[in-house]
Amino acid sequence: MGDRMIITIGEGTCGIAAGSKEAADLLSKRFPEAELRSVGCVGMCHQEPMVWITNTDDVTTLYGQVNKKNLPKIVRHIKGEGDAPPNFISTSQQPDTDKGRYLTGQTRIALRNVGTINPTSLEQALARGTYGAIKKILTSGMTPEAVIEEVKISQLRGRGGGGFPTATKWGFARSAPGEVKYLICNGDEGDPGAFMDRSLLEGDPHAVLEGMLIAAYGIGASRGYAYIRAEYPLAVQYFGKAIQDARAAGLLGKNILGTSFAFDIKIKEGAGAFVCGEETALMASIEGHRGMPRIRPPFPAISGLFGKPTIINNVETLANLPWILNHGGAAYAAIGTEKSKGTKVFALAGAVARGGLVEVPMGSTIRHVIEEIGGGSAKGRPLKGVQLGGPSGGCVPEAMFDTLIDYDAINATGAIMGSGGMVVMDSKTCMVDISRYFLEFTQLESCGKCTFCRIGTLRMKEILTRICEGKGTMADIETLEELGPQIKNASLCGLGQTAPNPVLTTLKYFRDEYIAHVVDKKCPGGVCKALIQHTIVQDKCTGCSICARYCPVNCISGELKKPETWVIDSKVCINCGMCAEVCNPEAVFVA
Amino acid sequence: MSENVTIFINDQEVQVPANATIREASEAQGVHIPTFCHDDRLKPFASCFLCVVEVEKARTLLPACSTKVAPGMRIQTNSATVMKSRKTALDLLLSDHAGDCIAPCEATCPANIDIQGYIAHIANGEFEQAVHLIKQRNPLPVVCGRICPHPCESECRRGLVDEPVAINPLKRFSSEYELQYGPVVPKPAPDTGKRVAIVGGGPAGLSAAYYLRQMGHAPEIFEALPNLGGMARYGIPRFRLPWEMMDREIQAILDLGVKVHHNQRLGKNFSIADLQQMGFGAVLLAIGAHKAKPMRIANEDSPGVMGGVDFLRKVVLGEKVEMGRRVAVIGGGDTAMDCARVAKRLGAEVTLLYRRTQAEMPALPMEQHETIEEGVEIRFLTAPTQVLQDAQGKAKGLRVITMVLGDPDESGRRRPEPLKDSDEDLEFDLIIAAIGQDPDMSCLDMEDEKPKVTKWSTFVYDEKTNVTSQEGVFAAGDCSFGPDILIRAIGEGRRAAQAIDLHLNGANVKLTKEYAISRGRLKDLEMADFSPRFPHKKRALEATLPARQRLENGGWGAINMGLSEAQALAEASRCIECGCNARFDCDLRNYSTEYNATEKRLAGGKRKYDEDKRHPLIKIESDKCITCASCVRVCSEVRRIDALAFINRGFTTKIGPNFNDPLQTTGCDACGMCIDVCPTGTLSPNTGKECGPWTGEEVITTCTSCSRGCGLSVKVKENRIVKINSINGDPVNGACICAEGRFAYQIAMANGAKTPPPGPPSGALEAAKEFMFNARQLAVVVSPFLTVEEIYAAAVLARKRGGSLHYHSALQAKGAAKPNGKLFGEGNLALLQRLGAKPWGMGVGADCLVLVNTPVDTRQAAAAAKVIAVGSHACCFQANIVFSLADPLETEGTFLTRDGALAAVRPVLRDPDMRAGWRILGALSEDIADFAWLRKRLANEVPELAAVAQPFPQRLVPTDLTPVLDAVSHDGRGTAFINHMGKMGLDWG
Repeated sequence: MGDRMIITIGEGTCGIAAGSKEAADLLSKRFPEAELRSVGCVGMCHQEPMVWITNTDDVTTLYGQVNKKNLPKIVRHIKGEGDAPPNFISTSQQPDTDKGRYLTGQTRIALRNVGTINPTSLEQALARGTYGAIKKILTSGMTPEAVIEEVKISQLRGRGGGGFPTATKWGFARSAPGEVKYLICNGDEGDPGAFMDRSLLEGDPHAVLEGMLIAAYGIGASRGYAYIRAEYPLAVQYFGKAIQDARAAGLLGKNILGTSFAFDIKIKEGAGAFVCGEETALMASIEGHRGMPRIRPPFPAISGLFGKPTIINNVETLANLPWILNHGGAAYAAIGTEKSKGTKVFALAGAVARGGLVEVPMGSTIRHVIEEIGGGSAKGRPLKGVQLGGPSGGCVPEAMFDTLIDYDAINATGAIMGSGGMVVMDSKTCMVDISRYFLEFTQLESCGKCTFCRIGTLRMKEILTRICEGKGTMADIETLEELGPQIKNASLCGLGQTAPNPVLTTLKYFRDEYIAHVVDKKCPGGVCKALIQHTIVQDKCTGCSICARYCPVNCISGELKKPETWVIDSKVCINCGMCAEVCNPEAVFVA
Repeated sequence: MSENVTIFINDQEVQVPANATIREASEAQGVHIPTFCHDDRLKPFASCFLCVVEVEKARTLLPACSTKVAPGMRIQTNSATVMKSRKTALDLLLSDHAGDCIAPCEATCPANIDIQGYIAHIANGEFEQAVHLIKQRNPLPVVCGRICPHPCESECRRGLVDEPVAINPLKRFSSEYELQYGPVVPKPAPDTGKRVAIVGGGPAGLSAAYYLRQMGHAPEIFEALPNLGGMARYGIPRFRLPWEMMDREIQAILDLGVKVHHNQRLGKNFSIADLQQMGFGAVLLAIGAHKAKPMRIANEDSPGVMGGVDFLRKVVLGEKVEMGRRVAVIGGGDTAMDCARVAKRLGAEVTLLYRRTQAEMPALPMEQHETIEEGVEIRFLTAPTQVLQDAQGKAKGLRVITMVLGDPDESGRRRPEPLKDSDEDLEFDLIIAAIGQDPDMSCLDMEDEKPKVTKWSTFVYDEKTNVTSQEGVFAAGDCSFGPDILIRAIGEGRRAAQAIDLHLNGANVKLTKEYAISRGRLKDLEMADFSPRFPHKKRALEATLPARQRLENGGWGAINMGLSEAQALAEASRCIECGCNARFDCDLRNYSTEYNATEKRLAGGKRKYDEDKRHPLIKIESDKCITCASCVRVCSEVRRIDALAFINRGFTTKIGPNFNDPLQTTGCDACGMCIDVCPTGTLSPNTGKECGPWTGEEVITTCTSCSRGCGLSVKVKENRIVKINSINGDPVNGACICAEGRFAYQIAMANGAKTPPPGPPSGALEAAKEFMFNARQLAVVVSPFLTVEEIYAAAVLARKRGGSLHYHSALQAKGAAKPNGKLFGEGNLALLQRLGAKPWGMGVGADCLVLVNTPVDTRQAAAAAKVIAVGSHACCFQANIVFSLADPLETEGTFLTRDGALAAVRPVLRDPDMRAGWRILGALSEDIADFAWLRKRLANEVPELAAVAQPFPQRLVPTDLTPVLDAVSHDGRGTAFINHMGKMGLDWG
């Protein structure tokens, strides 16, 4: 029994952006006696800003989308005076509501503390057992080899996208000669729509820090870098504070926890380039050079940062380590499929009802994530597919949603697990347009070094643009199919080697859409402006005139409340889609 | 790691060093792998992905330049996948490559004359060299210079600035200038004894004869008419093309050793079969097109009607033509103009009938203008429908009809259509139909087996090789492609000669064309991209006589006076050098030719960057960059300067000076290694027309700028240094050269060293000797940077005159940091000390000073009563007598490097007068007769010189002379270089 009410507010970057500061203000004014607690992002992006109200009976009620407008209803509900407001999610007594299933459907290892603790508080982290694993290692006299062995038993694979067995990589660096070795935490998350690393760094920085300590101990590194995107100021700030606090508490620096183990970390803010997430480019960036990849071998584990053996682990990989060391590698390996163990965090986005951060056991199906956790299609339209692995990944069609979340199973589809981007697409998505979008991203983010990546990806993008504009030919499709594999085959780093994936997988699974663009000059998704036309279905129209009011070129006319009079002048229409967006009865037909 | 591993290259088992890259291993096995981004001086980079190979079990293709071999590796270097990937890489690079490999003038010229090259020569005042270059493609430049309609000028990029360069007048000027001094007669290759029959002595035949003869073959021309020249003589009036000029030019061709059979007509006097029986290894048909096209109207074969070419030929042959008073000429081309003007000169009243308007007339505007000026009446939109006859059936006039212009036809011109009921009868005494001509194929009537003929009465032939349907028979000129301009026939003649040469040698007759990219047709380019970048300047106009004067004295004198020398020099400097500076040594171009790559297959958007000419010596054209980063890396890894960097990301990535600042402010010391390693024309010397670009002969020599002894690869063209590069793999100095080694030759040129230095002023030598005889104390002070021979000659001078020998060490110059950092200020000290030289300093007194290429502090000099200066650059104080000394680059000699090796300084420019340095010193000492003598004597004292005196394969000969590493300070060349940089606007410390 608590003696006063506790208001917990998600204040990750996403929460703040959605208005959590304002919600906190409003609530603290209403309940001045309550204790206000700030936590990281729990991952329910579609519900931000989120508030947990823990009453004196220790019952916690979760509300989403808290704002000025719906606050009175929430306040009434908190006081037990009214029905649950529409933005009520669940209570601790009954977590498994429809909306609450978003959280209950997950298995949270990496994200175990995210959204429950104050990321700036070392005490709270310690209270949740953080630094227990490294304490156990150091005080029990566990050897670095034993640490590596434990990780080996866990069969943990790199979560940054490559999926390389972590223990094996560590083994190379461990046995590489040299006094100085480096451990780098790769937090240069650059995929559009991905925010796994950000949430971890913002929500539970000490877990990542402890992971770094474990890894450093394992490989024998004395120096570490946290390479964090400069565009994540809150993550940089919180992680910086975590380093300071840990150092002050003797958890970082010389003689950690009174032992001879020494390790310290510097933060290097990212150079603002996607390619800097690539290991060799990242190291070049830390060294002060332009972030450009170099050939491997030599692998960083042998000759990396400043020529020293270097291990680069992704934030999520690191966050898993304390759990593994606490619970044992076998416990981790008990989760998942034969070759993919543990859990994986995904950033679920797109045409899905509930988007956000999701951690599920390996071996779950894609369908489980999209339908059970994500609540299926956002607008009730049939789903078409899902882009896995961001711009480097590929598109898995709806028919293959029963594919298991497993490195090899996903690779077999032509997509990749990647760092965990999951963009859901419904029938109103144009697959040509979407692959053009992803290709444009990688094209702009190419470092400009390799011929195929620098020029080849632009040529592919130009062809896709032509197809989207209705100027494509079948020869263009052939050129895409010729160039794609050649670019993959003759590029130095992962960026170029994977850039054509979105195009190649959509060509594989949605070839008919390409042909519709080229031959029939139609865009089945109703997206490509040059190929679509907006018309008003008078049967559905109510004659409300909202479309005309929003139309930027004033090409819609008709008489109020006379549906039969409403028309769009196709000569003037720019196919911006605004009318369809605002029409409540969905009377605007796009084809 | 020196052990070997076994790998398989193209299924061949080989042993290679364990630490080799795939490329190194392959090259060692003689398997060539192409690359742009790799250079032995640089760390592997792997960006161009041209060097990809297929390795068994590898996930992707691997870049051979940076992938190390592994035991048992199975490598395919030229599988279909590999070749396809390389071609795609090249296609992609070309799709984003800007520029004109060769200037559009050259590309447009049917004979592909190196126009940019010869204009650069003209701009430098080298008219003879200009003609040498022209004659590599066109043996009749004087003829062309008078009458060529110059398609080159209509594509001239200068047209996007203001007006096209007056290319043809420049050609005419230089070739006529050169004709005055006797035409160029190149030396043919040794006789092959192979005979070629050339039927027709017109431009195509003459051109073929010229090039065949140069290849050592024995061409013989069979000419149907009394004189050579073909249409140039019989179709072009002599007031446009004076015969005296043409005759001398043709004679120059015959002087090579070309036999001519006059008045021998194919099909009348001999047949092709006859020629083959006579033992000619090949027959070239170059019979031209001398049969006038019919008008296809009624009664056109009446007496009083004749073809334009027939009329012109008759006049030249002096045959009588029944002219009457009123002459009609039908047609709107150059032949029609010529006919009208000739008829006018023969006293007729001439009316020219043309069925369209003046805007559509194909004749050159100048010709139209002059024709009208000379009083020829032109009736536009008038077409003849019938020849009117008198009672005897002789033509007495024409029925004509008025035309109106309809819709454009396939030629783009508006089609003339007759206007109903507009018939009109005009009276004429002579009607000349100048509406075109065809080859006269009746010449084949005697043959049993005939070469195939097209429906246009031309020979069926391969436009790439000039091969006809008959083995060993070739065709060129108007008879193969149909009537066209003269220069096309000349180009065809040369190509036919190449093809015939292959045929005679039993080789497969196949001619490859080098890849060349173009910025595009002139009409498709934006004036705004060119015009603001150059100062505007009017095109030079040729002087032409006024119409009244043209018609005086029969009217047969030349009417166009051409350009003056001053005009030509100014006009040549208008060329904007759009052809790429790297055209002769561009890897991108070479590989594109080899892999048959094209910029069109994967065409798309291109980067667009202006050229950066802010640095006085180095030009950067980023839109030609393939981002191999060799320049960035050589600057950073080898020179440790980091003046260059990648700029931007993604597709727009380019190479440029750091932060896009002017290169000279980024720490660049102008070593130009970036130019050296650039595989394209992105980085090039910013030297303008002084350097062409021209091809040159490569001379390997030693840099004399300091005592390091770096190897230099010097491109020399006709006594002119065109470009200096480092030698990759040179043992000295990591194969890097510095700004002085690379660019100092420009000082020599700026100082006029391309002409021999003047000999001693009259009496100066005697006066100098007088000084020295009267001196109580003579001191000879040398720069340590002279050649061994020069230093030695100075030592002999000192010894002979009882003086002392000194080297200059007092001044500390601030200079460029040399590659590898510690070079500046060391000279041939070891040698000097061995010869007993002392450093020059305040304590040394002398009343007569001989300064050899070295300045001396004014106060010290003032102490001496007499000062004699021998130097290649102006000394910094007043000497009593000054002798010039040739630039070391032009001096044969020997050089003692810092490492104690003797380095031969090869004569770069072959004029022996250039070797003046030791001679002046020799004359002063009166003890040295000639260079051989000097060297012989020196060899007795420095035994290693004996090795240098012999022809030897290596540039460097090791010696036991210990280098003395005490830094001396100054060298005259260094000062001069700094001054030169200052003049060019560079702050050089």
